Parts: sequence; C-alpha cells; structure tokens
Amino acid sequence: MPSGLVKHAVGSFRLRLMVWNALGVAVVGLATTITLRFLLAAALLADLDAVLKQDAQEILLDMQAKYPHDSRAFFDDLERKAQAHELFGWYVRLIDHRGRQIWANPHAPPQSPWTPNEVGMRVADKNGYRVVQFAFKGPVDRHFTTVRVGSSLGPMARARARFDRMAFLISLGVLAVSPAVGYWLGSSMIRPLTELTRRADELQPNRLATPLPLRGVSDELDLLSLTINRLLERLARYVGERQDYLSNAAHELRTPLAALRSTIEVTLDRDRTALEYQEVLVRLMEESESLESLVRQLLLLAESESPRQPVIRETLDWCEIARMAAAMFEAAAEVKGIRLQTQIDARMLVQANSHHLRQVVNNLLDNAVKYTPAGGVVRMTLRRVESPTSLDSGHGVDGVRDYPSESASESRPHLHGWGELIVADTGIGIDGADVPRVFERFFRADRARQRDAGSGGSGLGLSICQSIVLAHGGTIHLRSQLGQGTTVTVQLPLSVS
Amino acid sequence: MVLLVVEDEQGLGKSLTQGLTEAGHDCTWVRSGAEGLRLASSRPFDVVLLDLMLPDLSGLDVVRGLRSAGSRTAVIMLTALGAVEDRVAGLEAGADDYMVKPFAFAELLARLTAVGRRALKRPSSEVTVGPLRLDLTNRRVTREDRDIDLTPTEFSLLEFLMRYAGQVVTRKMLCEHLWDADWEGVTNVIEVHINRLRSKVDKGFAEPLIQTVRGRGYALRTG
Repeated sequence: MPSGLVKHAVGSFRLRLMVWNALGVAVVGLATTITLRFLLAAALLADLDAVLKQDAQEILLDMQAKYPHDSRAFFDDLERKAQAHELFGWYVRLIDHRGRQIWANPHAPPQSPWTPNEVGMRVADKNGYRVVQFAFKGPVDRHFTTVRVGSSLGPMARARARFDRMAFLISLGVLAVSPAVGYWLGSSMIRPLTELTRRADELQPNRLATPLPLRGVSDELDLLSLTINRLLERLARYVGERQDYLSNAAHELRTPLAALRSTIEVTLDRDRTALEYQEVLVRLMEESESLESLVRQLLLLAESESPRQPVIRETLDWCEIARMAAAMFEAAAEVKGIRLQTQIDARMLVQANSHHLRQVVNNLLDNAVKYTPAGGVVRMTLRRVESPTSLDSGHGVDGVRDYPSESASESRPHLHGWGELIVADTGIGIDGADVPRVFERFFRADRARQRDAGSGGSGLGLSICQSIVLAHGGTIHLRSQLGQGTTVTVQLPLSVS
Repeated sequence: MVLLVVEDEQGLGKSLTQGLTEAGHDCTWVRSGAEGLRLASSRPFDVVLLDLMLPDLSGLDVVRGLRSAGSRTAVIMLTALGAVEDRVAGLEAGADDYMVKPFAFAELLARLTAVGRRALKRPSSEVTVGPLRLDLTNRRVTREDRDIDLTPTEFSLLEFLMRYAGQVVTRKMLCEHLWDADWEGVTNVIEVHINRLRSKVDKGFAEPLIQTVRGRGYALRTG
C-alpha cells in the first residue's frame, strides 16, 4: 500500500472526527442553553408570583384588621413596605367597587384597565409589570374591594440578559476548544490504528510470524489486531507447510534419482556385455518410472489444490466409477488371496473431475489390497445417505484442515443428499499414534517396512484423496486399529438425480 | 510414415528421431515453431509431432497456423502440461492427439499407428493376428479355429494387444483402454489380467503369443 494513501486516509478520518465533534458540541450546547434559559425564566416567574401572592394575602389580612378604623397605620405600613421594595418596582393599589383608586403608593404605575369586582386571584403581565390582583367583599359595606400587588419585570429581564451573556461567552469558549478536543481525540484513537497499519504494511510472506502488538485494553482495536494475528498464524502455518512440502518433495525425488545415478556410474565403471547393458537399462527404466509416478502424484496434488484454475467438473456416475475400480483391483486381490466384496448402489450422480474422483476410489482400494494379508477381506460400500454424519469414535481422524479451505463448511446441508463410500479392510491397520498423521503429505506409517516390501507408496495417496475430497465439498475420515484393519469413509454431496 | 518432429529440447528430439527412424519412419527434426510451421505447410507429412512450449511460437500457434492454412496433416502434441484444461486447449486448437511428457516411446508408436489408421478410416469388425482371430460383432476369439472363452476384461485386453500386434503396449495404455483411467499408483493391476489371458490363449500351444517386455509392457507376437 502506498504510504500517501495511508496518510490521506488517516488525515481524513481525523478531520471528520474533528468536524463531527465540533458539530456535536455546538448542537448539544445550543439545546442545553435554550432549555436552561427557558427553565430559568419559568423558575424566576414562579418565584415572583409566589412572593406577590403572599404579599397580597398579607395586605388582605392587614386590611381586614385595620381598615377603615385605623387606616392611617395601615397605609403607613404599605408605604414603608413599598419604599423598601422600590428597587424591584413593587407597588400596591387598592380599588373600590366602582373602579376608583382608594390608595396607591407614590411610585405605582398609572392604573391599568380594571374589570369590576372579579372574585378570586388573577395573575397577569401589565405594561412591563407582573401583577397579582384579587377582589373580596368588605371590609366596608359588603362592597368589593380589589387589591393589586405588582412588581416590575425589569429585574427578571436583566437577570435573563446576564444569563444570556454568560451562556454566550461559555458557548464561544467551548466551541473554540471543541475542534481541538476532537483533533486530540481523533489523534489518540488513530495512533494505534496508524501503528497497526504501519506494522501490517511491513509484513512479508516470509516474516508472517511477527504478530501485531496488542495494547492490552481489549477494545475493538485489540480485537482487530488479535483477529489479524490469528489470520497471520494460519497463513504462517500454511506457508510453513508449503515450504516443508516443497523440501520434502525435493528429497523424495532424490531417492529415485540417486538410484538412477549410481546404477549408471557403476555400469560405466567397466566394460559390460550387451546382455548386462540391457539388464541395466531395464532397471533404469523402472527407476525412471517410479520417478515419473512420483512427479505425477505431486502434480495431481497441486492440481487438486490449486485455487487459481477452476478444475473441470462434469456430472459423473460415482457408482460406475466404483464398479470400474473394483474390476481393476479384483484380479490383484484374488491373486493375493483377498476377498473383494462390493455393495454399490445402482446410480449416484456427482459433480466431479473424473480423473480426480477415480484416483480417490483407486487409491483407497489400492491401500486396502496392499495392506491386507492373504485370507483377508476388503469391503467396498457405496450408498446414499441423508446427511453427512460425524464418524469420529475415538480411534479415527477427520481429514479436515484448520487453515482456510474453499470447501469444508460451504455445502452442507446439500440439496440432493450425500453419497458415502466406505472402504474397509481386515489388514495390518495403523498404530494409534500414527492415525492422526495419515493425511499428512509424505507420511508413511512404518516407512522401513514398506520400503523393504517394495510396495513403497509415495506417502501421498491419502493426502491426494483428502485434497480431492475437500475440493469437491466432501468429507473424508479414517479409522484404524493395529492388527484389525482400516476403514476409510468418503462422503460427497450428490448432484441432481 | 513421413514424420516431422518439432522439438526444441536436444535430448528428447535426438532420441525421438533415432527411435522413429529405427521404427521405419522417415523423420525430419526441426527445433523452432516458425521452422516447423514453414516445413509443415510446404511439404507433405503424414504426422507432425509438435512440442507445446517452443522458444519462438507456441505449439498451439503452430497448429492454428497450420489449420488456418487449410492443412489437414495429423498433429500429435507433446507437452509437459498434463491438466485436463491443457488437453482441451490443445485439441481445440486443432491437434489430433495429445501426449503428456514423459511418455513411453511404445505409446508414441501406438498413437502414430492409431492416427495413421484414423486417416485411412478403416473400420474393422474382425481382427486377425497370426493364428488368432477376434470377431468383434460376436465377441468370439479363436486360435487355430479353437474357441477361447474369455471374460469381457480379457477380451478387451486381447483386442487392444491385437490392434497393436508386434508393438509394445504399456500398462498405462492398457489401463486407459480397459478402465478409461490411468492408474497413478504402484500396484500392477494389469499383470494379473495379462497372466490369466496368457494362460487361456497360450495354453496347449507350443508357441507363446503374449510376451512380457521387461520394464516396458507387453507385446503380441505377429508370427
């Protein structure tokens, strides 16, 4: 990845975070200020109303006690009270039942329109004043008297203006700081991401084992690193297996080459008769054939595993292929004194590469016949099953891979059912410790004996089977008991019947 | 047959030319695709043996060039690429047959015979080799007019040997003929069938007809 792209991507992420942060702060701040302003006004007003109502009540009680017999003292009290609250524009006005003013303190605003003899308490805004008024009968001649207590709204407006000024200043400050905070937040969030990107960019196919650093805070970024690390592990294992495979293959090719070379050298060492030369050439022919066979198997393995080229598939009758394989090995089994029993369904269609599928069936039969002594039985069963079953009963191994493989899980359950091929023998079996390794490339259970016996397999047969079966979306399973025999089960999804 | 070998690899070209000449063919060897295309278009050959990976032109280009020039000369492709896809590509370009290296020389000779026979288009329902007579319609085999009872596998095996009588037939060829598939394994699945066939065909006769050619395969004696 070009580093310019990295810088640009990171820059834009930080910029976006900055803008979004500023925008968010502005919106939230504005909403909060407006709400607070509203609530503050409401609270102040409610407070004022409560005070005014209380004043009105007090005046009423006073008036009932002192008016009209001691009106002088009553009015003096009111006058004093009004003077004390002059700053707030507080006033009192008493009005008789005909709307005439009985008394008002000197700073009271001019009398506003009056509704005659309204019973009960009323609150209203009048010409910049908050006014509480209520009328009651008495104390003179059972006529209505109206008490009006008011207070200027000016102080409240001034308080609100003060609040607005302060809110504006604070908002301005917060707005000025928030992009910087956003930038800092963005940077601190991006820093591990940038580090991650840099480290990932440095990874090389031959240095996959260096894991990405974890910060130990188990957040999403750590999870990302962990996921990438696990992927790297799988890749490293895969690459490692490939490397082992390559060097193993080279070593395996050396064996027949060594035989060829030494045969030729020894022959050339001195003069031979024509017959001797012929004998040597035949041996060279046989050696080159085993070399050829190994190369063919290596290519088959590569071909069956290649993710690049789509392997040609056609609709095949698996049963026909199984019957052919049985016919192919029947004679070889009979000569060895082995009974080859088959139980094969009439017809079962699969989408498969013909050459590959034949190799699977042939390989399994070949192994069974090869490792079963005289008097034994090799049984091949091919039948339809509803769904692939897990066969692991403790002694077996499933031919699955733990690194990504295109097949494995993708195709179950399958629409047209599954076919199950079981090749069971009563042969020498495989040691329990070796069973888990049978699908490994070049693995031979008990190398020496096989080499001596001249049955020398390449150690690729079962890996080839596994590769092909997995590439066809199937499963392969091997179960074996030393001295009892081996059973291999292959399941493949069937095609339209 | 008059043959043209287009092969850039020194060792293989040399041994092919030697073997084909010794087998009685008239053989010309060139090492480049352009040279091969020029010769094949200007002189009449029965069969062209064409390597796929040549230094200048690819074998596929040579076949296409030949076919587009209207030549119907039989072409057998020789190549190290053995995947089904490669085969299909070769045959689609216009090759008559396709052989994957390394191949048995005996098989090459057999394929030459087959390609030559295809050119003659001679269908035969009866094959006769020396004292052996094989009737394909009735699936009957006789030696010196004595009936031989064969299983279908043995019949098929004998038919193949008789078609290529006098030539070496490899195990791979027999495998492909009998079971449609090459067997990559080690077990000699053909040998047992050959032994059984031999015991039936040669039993009671002084002269054994089916011979094992060590390291190469089997051959049916013509005389």
